[in-house]
Parts: sequence; C-alpha cells; structure tokens
Amino acid sequence: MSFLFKRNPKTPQELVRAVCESVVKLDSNSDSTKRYQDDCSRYLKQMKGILVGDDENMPQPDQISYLSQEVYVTDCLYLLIYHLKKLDFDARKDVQLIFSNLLRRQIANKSPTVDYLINSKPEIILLLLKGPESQSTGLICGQILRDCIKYDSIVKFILGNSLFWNLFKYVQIPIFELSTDSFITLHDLLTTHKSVVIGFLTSNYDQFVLNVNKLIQSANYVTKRQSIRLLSELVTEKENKEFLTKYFDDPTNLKIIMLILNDKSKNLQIEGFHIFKFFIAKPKKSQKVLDILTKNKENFIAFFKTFDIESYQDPNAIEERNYILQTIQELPDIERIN
Amino acid sequence: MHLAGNIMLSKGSLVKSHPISPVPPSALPSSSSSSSSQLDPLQTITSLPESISMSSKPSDFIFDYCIGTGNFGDVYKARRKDSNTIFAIKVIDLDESIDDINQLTQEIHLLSRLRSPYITNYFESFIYQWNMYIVMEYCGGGSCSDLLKLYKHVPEMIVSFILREVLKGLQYLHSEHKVHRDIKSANILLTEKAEVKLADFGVSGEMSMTHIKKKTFVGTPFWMAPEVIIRGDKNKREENESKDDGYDSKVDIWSTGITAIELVTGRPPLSQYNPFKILFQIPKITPPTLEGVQYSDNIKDFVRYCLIKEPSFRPSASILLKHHFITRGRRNAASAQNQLFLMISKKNDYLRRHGKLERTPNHLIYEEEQNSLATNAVEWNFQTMTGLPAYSDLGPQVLNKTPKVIVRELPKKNIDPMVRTDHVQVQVQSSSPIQINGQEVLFGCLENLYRRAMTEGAKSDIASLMSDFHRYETQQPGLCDALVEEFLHVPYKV
Repeated sequence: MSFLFKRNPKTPQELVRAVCESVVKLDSNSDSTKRYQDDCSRYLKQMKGILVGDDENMPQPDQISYLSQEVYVTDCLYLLIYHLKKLDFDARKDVQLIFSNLLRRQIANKSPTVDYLINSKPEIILLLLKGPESQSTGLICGQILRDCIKYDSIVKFILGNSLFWNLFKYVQIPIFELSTDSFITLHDLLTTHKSVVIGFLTSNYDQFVLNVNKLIQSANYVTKRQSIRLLSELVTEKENKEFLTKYFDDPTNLKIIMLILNDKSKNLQIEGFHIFKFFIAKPKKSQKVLDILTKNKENFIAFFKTFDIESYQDPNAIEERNYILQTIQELPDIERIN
Repeated sequence: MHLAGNIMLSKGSLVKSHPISPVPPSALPSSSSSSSSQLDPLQTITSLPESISMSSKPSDFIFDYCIGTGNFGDVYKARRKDSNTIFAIKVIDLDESIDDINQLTQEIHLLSRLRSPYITNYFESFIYQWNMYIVMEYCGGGSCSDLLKLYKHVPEMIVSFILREVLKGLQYLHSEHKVHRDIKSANILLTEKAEVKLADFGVSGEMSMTHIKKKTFVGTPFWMAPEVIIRGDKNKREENESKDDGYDSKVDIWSTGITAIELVTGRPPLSQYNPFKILFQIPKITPPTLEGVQYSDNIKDFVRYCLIKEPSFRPSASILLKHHFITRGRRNAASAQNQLFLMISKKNDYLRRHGKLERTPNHLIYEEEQNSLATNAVEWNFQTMTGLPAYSDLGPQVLNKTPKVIVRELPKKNIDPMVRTDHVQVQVQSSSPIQINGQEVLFGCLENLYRRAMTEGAKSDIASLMSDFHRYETQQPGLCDALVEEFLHVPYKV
C-alpha cells in the first residue's frame, strides 16, 4: 500500500516533530514565513487525518497512540497555541480539532491529555485563558478552553489561578464575539462542575460578588442580561448554601437587584425578579436587608401593581409574585431604630 | 430575506482578520519544553495588548431602508460611513425573547467561523441598547423567491445553475458540520452579478427552529424533511448534532429537492394545503415528485434523489453535484448565469419603478425615545436609619438619584447591647447587628408578669393585654419589635 503515499510518508512521530519545527520558524520575520505557514497547515491536516481518519482510512489506535506520546514529549500543543495567530484560518480550526480530539482520548478511565495539561504543562491552559486578548484567535482558544472545562480537574486548576479573574475583564471587551465568548467560558466554569464550584464560591465570596455585581451594573445590555442569568443559576443551586446565605444577607446585593427591577428592559426586570424573590422568601433575613425591605414596603406594593409579569405566561412566576407581594404586605409599617 | 441593490464587496474584503499578523520580534520560545521568558502566562493584564479594534456602533452606518422583515428583526441595507461599503444589517430586538442569550451568541460565533463564496458572509455584530446588529454581506439581486414573484417560474437551465451553487454552499456548510435547516428559494440570495449565496443559516434559522416548538409556527413547513418533523424536539436534535452521525445534514438535501420543485413550478408541493394541517402528513405520505411533460427527465430524477424518505439513503451534496441534472447544466453555466443576470436586472428595474424595494420594518430601531422609561419605575429608598447613605458601594447610576426622606436622627451613643439587654434575657452577640425578637421578649415579659400577678383580676387583665398585643401585632407586623426597641432606648432619650 505504500505506493499510495507518494509524497514522503511521515510516521506520526516525524509529523509531530515537523509541526513543532515549522511552527517555531513562523517567528522569524522572513520571506519564507508563508512557506512555513503552508507546511504547518499541511502537517496539521495530516495529524488530523491520523486522529479522525479520512474518507478512505479509519483512524488506527496505535498510530494515535504514537502521535499523542510525541505531542506530550515535544509540548507540541503549547507551541501550537502559542503561535496560533500565525497559522492560517483553516489551520487554526485544525489545531482546535486536534486539541479536542486528544483531550477526549481515554486509556482505562484516564484522560492522558488532561493529566498532561494539569501535571506537565499547565501553561497551555493559562495561554488559552488569555485567549480573548487576541482578536484573531480568541474564539478558537475559547472553544478549546470550553472543551477543557468538561474535566473537573481542569476547572479546579483554573478556579484556583488568579488569571481566572481576568475573565471578568474579558467579558467587557468591546468586541461582541470576544466578550460573549468569554462569558460562555465564565458561565461554563461556574456551572459545569458544581462540586468544585461550591468550595470556590465559599472561599471567594467577596471578590466574586464584587465582580458579578459590576457586570450587572454594566451599560451593555448583553453583559447585564448574561450576568444576571448566571447569578440566577448560582443562587438557585441549593448546594451553594454558604454562598447563598451570604449573598442574600448582603444589603448591597439587594440594592443592585432592586435597581434591576427598575430597568427599562422588561427582560432584565424579569431576571431581576427571579433573584429578588429569594431575598423575600429567605426565612431568616439579615437586619439590614429587612430594613431596606421595610423602608420600601409602599414602593414595592406600588411596583408590583404595574409589574408586567402576566405577559410572560409563566404561571409559576405569577404565583411567586403573589407570594412575594403578600410577604411584603406583612412587613412592619413602623420604622426601626438602630 | 429579500435584498436588492448593488454588490460592493470584493472577495478580498471578506477576510476579516488576516492570517498573518505582525510578528512580535521578541517572543520565541527557544526549545519545546521550557517556557520562554518573554512569555509569562501568570502576568495579569492591565490593558489588552494586541490591537483590538473597537466594535462598530449604529451611528457608523447610514441605514438606507429596510429590505426584509422577519420574526426576530428586520434587515436593512446600510452603508458604512467611513468606507462607503454596503452591508445587510440584521437588527434583532433581544428584549423580545426570554431565551438564554448564550445560545444566540454561540450561534454567532459559529457564523463568524464560516467563510465561503457560496454563503452570505458574516462580518461583525454589535449591541446598542437592547438591539443586536448583525452585519452581513449584502446581496443586491434579491432572493430566488423574488424572482418567482415576478416571473412565476425559473427556466430549468437556470435552476440547474442555481442549485449547483446551492449544493456547493451546502457542501461547504456540511464540511464545517453546520446544517442550514432552512433551504428554500427565499433564503437563496443573488448578487447583481448573478452570484448565488445561501443566507439565513445559523442565528435566524436556529431561532426559528426553537421557536416552532415553543410558540407557533414561524416558517412554513413545506420544505421540511420528514425526519425533522418526526423528531422535532430540541434535545434530540442537539444530541444528534454532537454525535454528528452525518444524517442530520440530509435535511438540507430534502429541502433542496423541494426548492427545485418550487423554482420550476413556482411553489413547493402541498402548498395548496394549510401548512399546519399538512405538517404531520409529510412523514406519512410518499415523497412528492415532479410531474409534467414540460420538465426534463434529468430534473425529475434529481428531485427523486433529493426526496428519498430515509435520510441515510439520501445522497450528500457532494454526490448530488455529480448528478446529470447538475453536470449537464455545467456546460451552459456561463449562458445560464448571463440569463439569470438579465432576469435580476429586469426584476430590480421593475421593483425600483414601482417603489417596491423598500419594506416597512416590523420593529423600530435607532430611536432614542423608544420604550422610554418603564412606567413602573419606582424610586427606591436606600437611606439607612443611621443616616449614612449606602450609595458609596453602588455605581454612578445610583449616585445621581436624590435620596428620598431623611429619617430622624437618633442620638448616637455607644450602646453595649449585652448590658442593655441582659435584664430581658436576650442573648445578642455584640459583633453582629442587634437582632431582637420583639414578640419573644414582650410576651416573655408578659408571661412573667402573669406569674407575678397575685390576684385573679390582675391575671385576667394581663391575659387580655397579651391577647391585645397579639391582635395588634397581626395588624401591624413588627409592632412588638419596635416597642421593645423603644424600651431599650428610653434611658438615653431623657
């Protein structure tokens, strides 16, 4: 069969080495850059062929195994991500495909690529985390990162790293694709592996709430809506008990949500309501929260008179609204002194 | 989507970001295993290093007129002020849908990764107020369904040309694991040079699909493949997408077959029936065929292949490109394109003369006063009793709100809660704000009084006092709390 491969057939090992060598050469600012770029694209295509097969060939397990071993030894993934923006458009997609494919690889319930990322080359994850800083490759990095986030050990690593907090800046980048993509990453990090997130939220309550509250007060409609939705998801998670108690006892949070109730956007109002209701329904309210609620008793009654919840045709929401209103009416009419 | 006007884009300008960006001279990891010193992934950012251009604003464009209306927004012909380039801009009111916005944005990300001469290419998106603006390539020739409106049907030779381009578009989309899901003549756009481009995949397509199950039918189901109707629910569809078993893309092939019939006959099969009633018939009845002596055997055979009921037996776009109906037409491609060009310019002339290029948008955009302040805006009172405004931790939007009432000032002395509350046996931790259960305290006191009472008369009076307190507490929740509070402050008021 070897006659079919006319142009120097490379073993998987040779292929990986060839990719590494040409990708590094992309750095030199010479006329041959284009040639190395084409080389990279071609090698990457062949790597992809080994991993997923093509029209004629099924992927061969031993070939895949040789290829992955060589990828780990040469830190090929690191080089590819580091030089991602020097590759051409389609080659970048191939990098993503190769990366994701290697990630999914399992040997006896173990994911060798995940282990490699965590134990040998966590810099790759950090590079990916900083992906949104490059407009041309941000989306590809985001996509790869979200594939990584499917593994709880990687989520744990990211949540423990200070670079995680950069996401709160990235979601405010004025480029729609980058900011929204970063938000999806942020969202996935905080909702995919709940048991990992519980500990994170408990020990990082202050910093986290400060950051989320900033997003909720953003001038950008999408940022506002995404962040309230994220918060909604987190506060309905009963396992986050400690986080919930702190959140709903904090009068600052209540104030921010009350401002959302007043937003011009009907959708934001509804989203706000779905958080506000927990402040009201919480059995043991903090005194400060109770004070604000009491002080605004009349305001709330006026507000809920016109609050248009019926148009969403959600019987639960209407029932909740009625319960909230009733609870508010039971608040004292006498001001408290400190 | 209906478009008209002139195509102004060269293929070069379609490429949004160039593959080679300027190489920073420094960064070069020396060897594979050691991380380079120039690269410090742990460094946190202060500003975004790489030249990130700002996103556009509506005011960067002149919105000429509305060229298409849809359930989720309208499409405008717009001209970029700085470059004079013409775009089609879809404006979606995000506040109309309660759906998760992440889903929509993920669709846009997929869009931004597609580039082909056979699709209307995506440029950028931006948000202004609650509207999302999606900037797309503009096609000045309108859609194939516009052609049908004027000419009733399209000659077979031209249909062969159009469908070849459509199949190439599908070949590209399917190779990118993207399924169009809404192939029909209205979504096949034409440039004024008679190029054929697929439109309305992704965002609008996906959205209308999810909409079908949630509310009402948005599109008409005549073009839907039987398997789409059978497994209509979203979860299943997503499952299939992730598995990518290759059959999902076959729904587009079915729709292409229906579109072939539509183009040569002027309408899709079964369109004489109510779409809502016919929907669930489609999977049950035998597939439609193209009948009539005026049509060639080639196109009839082509349609038959597209409309094979079992998706796994239905050919792929690549295979259909080799069908006689398509390959025969290739010989006459130049002349077919020329004829199509004439049809388009005649149609545009007609529309221009009759002032039919413009449409009335369903939604208003670009008007500051729209949705003016919500009617139920309430001015919240965030003033705390201690007189300290709690605004400092809120953003500037709060700061310019004038606080409502200034509550009465209370003498501020350092009260040790332990001392003052000892005699009523309330345990309060000094670090936390004083929290007293007024009812407990008050009724506890009254019970003590009751026990201390030496006469029956005193006992019954105290009992009625208790029941009075109980009644007033129900009427005025918090009354006991407030009363106990007052008691605690008595020594400091005099």
